[in-house]
Amino acid sequence: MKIDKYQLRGRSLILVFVLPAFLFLILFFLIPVISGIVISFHVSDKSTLDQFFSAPFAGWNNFRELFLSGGSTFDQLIDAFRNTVIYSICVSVGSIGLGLLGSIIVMQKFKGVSLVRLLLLFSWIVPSYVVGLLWGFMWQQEEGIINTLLFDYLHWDVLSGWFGAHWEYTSIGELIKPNWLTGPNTIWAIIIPTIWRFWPFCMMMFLAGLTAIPKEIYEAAEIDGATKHEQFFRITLPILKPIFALIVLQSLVINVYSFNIVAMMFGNGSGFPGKHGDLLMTYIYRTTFQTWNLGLGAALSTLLMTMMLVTVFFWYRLFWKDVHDN
Amino acid sequence: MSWVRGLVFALFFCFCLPVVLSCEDDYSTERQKTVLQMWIMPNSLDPEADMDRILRNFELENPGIKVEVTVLDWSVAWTKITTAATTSNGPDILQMPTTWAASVTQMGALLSLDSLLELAGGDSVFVPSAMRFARPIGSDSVTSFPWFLDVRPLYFRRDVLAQIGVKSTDIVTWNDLKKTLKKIQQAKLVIEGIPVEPIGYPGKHDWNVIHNFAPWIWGAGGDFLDSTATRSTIADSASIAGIMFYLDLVRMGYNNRRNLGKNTSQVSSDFDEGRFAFWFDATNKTIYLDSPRFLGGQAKSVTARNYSCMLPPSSPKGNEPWYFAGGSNLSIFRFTQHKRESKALLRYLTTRADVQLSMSRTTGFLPALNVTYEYPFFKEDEKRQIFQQMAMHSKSYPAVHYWGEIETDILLRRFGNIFDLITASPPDQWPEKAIIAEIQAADREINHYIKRQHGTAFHEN
Repeated sequence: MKIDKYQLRGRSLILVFVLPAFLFLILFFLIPVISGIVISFHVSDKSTLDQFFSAPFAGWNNFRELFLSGGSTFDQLIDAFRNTVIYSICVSVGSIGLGLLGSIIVMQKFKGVSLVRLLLLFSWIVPSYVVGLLWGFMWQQEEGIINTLLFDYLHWDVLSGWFGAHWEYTSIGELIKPNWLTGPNTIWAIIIPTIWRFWPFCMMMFLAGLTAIPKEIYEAAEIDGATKHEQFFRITLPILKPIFALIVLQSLVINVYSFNIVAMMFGNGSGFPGKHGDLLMTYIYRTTFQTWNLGLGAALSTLLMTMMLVTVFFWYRLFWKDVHDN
Repeated sequence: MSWVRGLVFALFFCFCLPVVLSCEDDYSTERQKTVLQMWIMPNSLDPEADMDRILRNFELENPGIKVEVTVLDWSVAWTKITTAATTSNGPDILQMPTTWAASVTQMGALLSLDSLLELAGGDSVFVPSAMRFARPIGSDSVTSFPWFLDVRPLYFRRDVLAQIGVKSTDIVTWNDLKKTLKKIQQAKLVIEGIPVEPIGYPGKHDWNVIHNFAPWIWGAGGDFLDSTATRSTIADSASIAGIMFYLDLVRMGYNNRRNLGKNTSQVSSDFDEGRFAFWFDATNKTIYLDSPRFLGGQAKSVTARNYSCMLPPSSPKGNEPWYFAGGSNLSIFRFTQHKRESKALLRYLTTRADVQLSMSRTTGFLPALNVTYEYPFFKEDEKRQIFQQMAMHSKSYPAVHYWGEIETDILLRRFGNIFDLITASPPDQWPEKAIIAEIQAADREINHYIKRQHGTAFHEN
């Protein structure tokens, strides 16, 4: 096929436009990723950090330490991995569910709908580190607003008691309110604020999708006798599938790499979130920047990146056709 | 009216030219000055302004030097300092929290200060425990100068003790303390409308977790590491006894379990508001209690009107009591372009009694320079005499380069797990076996970590 000079100029122009983005990706994405992988094969700690790639070669030792050292490294990895999986799935399901529900509500026509839409977005614009700090106070056992609302005003202990829930009381008959920031409850203390912050974003995405669905489809369905229920499951949801796919991917990636809320909620970086609150990112941060074991931290990051690549691969297999066709 | 315009211009010229010229003069003088960058932590209520006040005389005595102070938050300080150490991009002089000094020394980033120490009169001019981190184990040189000391006395409410008929001088041993706490618990006191609980201490969300355990471990005859700092002794019976005694205050209900979900500043505020009879805190607590509210203090609160402090009690087994000593040193980065000026500043802040006194007055921490304790400020004040006694009989963590990681990662996490075990257990059960298992796990982890560290060489300084 012969290419004329106009086509050639067009292609050159495309290259000129693509080149900055391409250089940006190489400089700020590819080189750091490759550097991270290289460091994971070196003994890079505070005594060898200044040597960078000339630090002693460690082979697979950093990866071996993660899985085969038999010490706390493996235990911490398992805890952090388990918590990250639970956290990511719960936050994704929670925020997507709430987002969908919210978008359907604000699609209805009622007075002040624009104001409601605006107000619902508020939690999304709060910076994540502020969310961590605020909720850290809100979850306090005695003075926290959550326990105060649940137990002092709503008497949740009495209400849940009707359904068989058991609560502990002190010797003088005072209710022992749940401690959200220690023990197994910790995972909920980080999941709920993240959903609170993330669901308006999902709502916005679904809202954009919902407004793009032509009304004629619903009118035709009504003429054919479809109920509202059937319209939702047979028209709305299938059309929103590509948006679902994108939100699922984004939500998984953001939540697996979540750090701020946990770090700020538990002692502003000083504390340990606990076995039930430690995430892979907080574990990587501790290993890399608190103990300055960069080799081990890089090995952890490489593993996490591989894990995410596998997740994205499965996402492609599941959703690519929907996204591509739409 | 061109003559009016001319007159305005002439007046403007006459008035403004000298101003412009004087500005230029000031500007050029400023430009000729050597600017020293200094990093400090929030050591007082208004750290930057307070530090500027302390440095004012230095700048007057050394007109060619200007010091620019940056206050680092504790949550980012470790990362910032170590990043500066590894990238050779940071301040000239910096506050070095004692337990981090050995780690940063091992990075080979700090200037040797041996000659300066000789000039100052040698090790003996400083409080011994403060000097420990100035020359870390494994380093031949002095890499930091003691700046100030932080001990943790036992604060108490005089009015509470008076109501239960106990004198502070009666509380000598751990058992005396327990008996007093029991009396307070049984008395169910309500003072100025606030129910008073016996004692309060925080749980895991805090930098001070290990500092709180340390005196009990040392008091019971235990320690964190052995004398060569090559083996963990945290799971030895004496260390476990100290840890269990401290935790026992929760088991007995003297320290409410709900406090374990709080951090130091929250429990400290509870003490200020009158909710506890006893509370361990640093010496700068006096500044907060004595300062008016508009300056961020708590003066006139029920606690401020009735507080005093005492020496922490000692083990009933007759072991020598050791008081925890933290605090901060001052170091100079090797990469500084202003070595002479930085050394002059370091000498000013650490070896002059008047400046040490001024620092102590401002921050509430104790001077590291022995001669400062001769001032009436210390000799004629009951509380500061107790602080001084503690300073002279204080102990600090092992000055090894791997201590920072042991403290901030392993121990903080393991003790955090212990608090999780306690708060997750029902009120009528005490997870003693699980606590001991966690301490033993910490012991194994520390030993594993030390073994790995001994594979690395020590940098020449």
